[in-house]
Amino acid sequence: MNTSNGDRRVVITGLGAISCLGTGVTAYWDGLLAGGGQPAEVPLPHLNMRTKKMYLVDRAEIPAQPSHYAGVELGSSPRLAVAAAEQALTDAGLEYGACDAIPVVLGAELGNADMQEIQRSSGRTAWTTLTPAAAVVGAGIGSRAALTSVGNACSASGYALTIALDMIRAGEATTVLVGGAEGITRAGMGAFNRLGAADPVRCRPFDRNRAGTMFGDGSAMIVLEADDHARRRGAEPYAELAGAAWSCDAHHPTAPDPSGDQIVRAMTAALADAKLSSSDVGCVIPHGTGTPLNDVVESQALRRMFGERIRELPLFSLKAMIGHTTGAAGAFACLTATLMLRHRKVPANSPIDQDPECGVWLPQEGPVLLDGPAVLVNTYAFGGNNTSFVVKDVAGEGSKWSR
Amino acid sequence: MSGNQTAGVDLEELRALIAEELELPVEEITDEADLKNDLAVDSLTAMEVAVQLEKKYRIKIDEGEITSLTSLATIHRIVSAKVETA
Amino acid sequence: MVTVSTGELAVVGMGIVAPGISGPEGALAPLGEAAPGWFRAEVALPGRGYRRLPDACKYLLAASRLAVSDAGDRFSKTERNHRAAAVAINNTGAALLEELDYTIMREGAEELSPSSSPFIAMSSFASRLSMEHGITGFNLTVNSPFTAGLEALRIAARAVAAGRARAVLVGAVEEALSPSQSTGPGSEAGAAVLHCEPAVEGNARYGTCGVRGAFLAPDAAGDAAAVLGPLVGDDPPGRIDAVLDDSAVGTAAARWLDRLADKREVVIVPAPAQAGCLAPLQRVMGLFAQQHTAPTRRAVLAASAQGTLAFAELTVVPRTAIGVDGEEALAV
Repeated sequence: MNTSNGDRRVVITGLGAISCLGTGVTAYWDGLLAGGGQPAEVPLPHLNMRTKKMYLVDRAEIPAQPSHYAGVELGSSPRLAVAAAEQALTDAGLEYGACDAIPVVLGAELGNADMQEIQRSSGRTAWTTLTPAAAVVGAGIGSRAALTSVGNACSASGYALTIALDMIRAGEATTVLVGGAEGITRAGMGAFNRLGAADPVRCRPFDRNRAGTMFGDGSAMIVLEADDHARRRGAEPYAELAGAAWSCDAHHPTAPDPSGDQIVRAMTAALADAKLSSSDVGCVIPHGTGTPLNDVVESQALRRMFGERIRELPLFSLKAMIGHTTGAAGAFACLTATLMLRHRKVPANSPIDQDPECGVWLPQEGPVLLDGPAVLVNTYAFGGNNTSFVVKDVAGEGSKWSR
Repeated sequence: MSGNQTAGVDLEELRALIAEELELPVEEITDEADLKNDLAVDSLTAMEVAVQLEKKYRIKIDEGEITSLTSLATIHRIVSAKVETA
Repeated sequence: MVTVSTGELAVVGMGIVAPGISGPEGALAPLGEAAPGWFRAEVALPGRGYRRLPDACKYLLAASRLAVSDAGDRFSKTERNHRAAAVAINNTGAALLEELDYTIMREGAEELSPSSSPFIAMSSFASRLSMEHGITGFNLTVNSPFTAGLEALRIAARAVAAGRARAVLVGAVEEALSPSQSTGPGSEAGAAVLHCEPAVEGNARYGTCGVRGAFLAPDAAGDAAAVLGPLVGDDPPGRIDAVLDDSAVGTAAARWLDRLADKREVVIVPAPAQAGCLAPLQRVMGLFAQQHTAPTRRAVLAASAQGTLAFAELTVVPRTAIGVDGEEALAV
């Protein structure tokens, strides 16, 4: 469908992460293999609600700087974003502070809310922007290129990745720093409590006793780059962001469309954009939030996509290990997919008592071999805003994965 | 409005409250009309109905009970029982 | 095959709902005071299911209806999967977020209004748009400080070029800050929506536009020339409307524009410190609504204190007047 440079391949050349599993990509992957993180009580005042837990970045690992930007006091999310951005650029062999031609595309939903909430609790009420994070990162890396800050709630960084992909394909940039960052939020947790969508125990997608989601904070940042550009400067790509697609349910403010038609359309279009078929997919990282309806609808949609193969196609239920990182969820899933392709394996899922209505395979005994060149990722959000994207292996290029 | 409820729950008053919450004319709130299937009430609106019932009749409706608020007749029965035992 | 430039959109319909502004033709005027009752939801959105929506949601729905009907039935004739929305927000949910948070602090989360609760997600303000207009292509919310409205145009143009949609409602919506949140007068309320399509021959009812962006970190504002020069380009349009606040970035941009003032008409539109993202898109709309006898190039520049910059370049088509039924009389 792309009219300009649609054939330009876009690869992943840098990764950065800070999450409840620690700082850095190695700590992240080791943490997934070790079974993920544990929920902890959120350190915010006036947290008057039943469920007060999230999957939290160790407070000692949250960088203290930058504490201010353009007159705005910064909460944890922009600082996490800066930390992850620095890692990703270093990983890609790019110099932090000297990236004038690199645009930043960031998914951020409640962004600086924690700082505002702390201020509100102490009687300070003046409003400052919720979403300074993209600009904070832009200033940090020394960018002069256009910023994009996407606020599509739980699919924000899925959209951000697609926008970055389109920018490189269209020739607007050769390299884009893209990702997501979220801090803690009293208002967000309170609303999910009120809507009966906050699980008091943990985040347990596809479990028969799941009772909603549980948030996580953190940031994942990714350097996307035109394949030819990466090769010219000798950067070795991890994987290719091979295709992406968007859709919208147009069904309900919060609930998914039970038909699943639009999420099937997004998955189908993402694979078509990647010029792959469903048989190339070796693992799916589902949106899988732990809210009762989402997980059933998504399981049914996956069955429509993959047919009987769904029984032997491993799913990796990421939110069970790091919580629902909302605006950063797509970026964390992209990071995870990339690491799976690099290590050729799917970590064991967190143990669950699986809901028979969710007829998908979540291997829990131990890691399984990634048997296919592509990982499909879904991210969905309130309002039925869906994205699916495909991360594809670059190393084997038609040989290692040939079936 | 916050009148004495010991005389029981007035069906017409309840009908008017639900009509108001559902943004529908009172005539459409028949005793047996199914809120979800006939009147297209979604989960968020059902929660709002519960909030208004709690306020007006000074009762408590648990989250799990909201799905049983299926029609005016049912709601009348549930609310009446709660008001009596309150 | 029609070659579509990656950066261009045709504007085929426009709608605005804002205090003191009667329509696109009046959109170059500053917003009026958002006095109670300025927006009459029961007139703009008659029918069921609107009462519990936050007002900002209703502004966006009302402005979208105006934009869609301004373009005739083009939107509804577009296949659902090719309909899309790109909506800009800044302060849109601020007052409601504060109210919800105070409820949690003082009474507990169980006292939150269920129908208000989803609006902690700022993209919820645009969600209803999809349901109302059968938009299944995509519905994207962007939130860069101040420049988000122009950013929405930029993203819509790119997405259209990439084949992700054929008709996009590009909007900006704002709601006034609460008195305790405001540090001064002038926070915006209202919504502006442009119905956009691919910029192909004969498609541009009002004209075509493309948006570029750049970033100027506040502590590098001294480098304004190095950033603004390439952004504005060698041959800027005859009139540039610049929506700027008095931050370091805004001041640097204004100073840089001074050098163009003898060759171009530069209109500085002052913005308050807590401005939202409505004014720049409103400016685009106002310029498109002006009447010309020949194709006329115009531009809108917006700069935020945080350093985001956006430059929208418009080509306004010749037009004398647009009738209520959408019929238009071309200038000879």
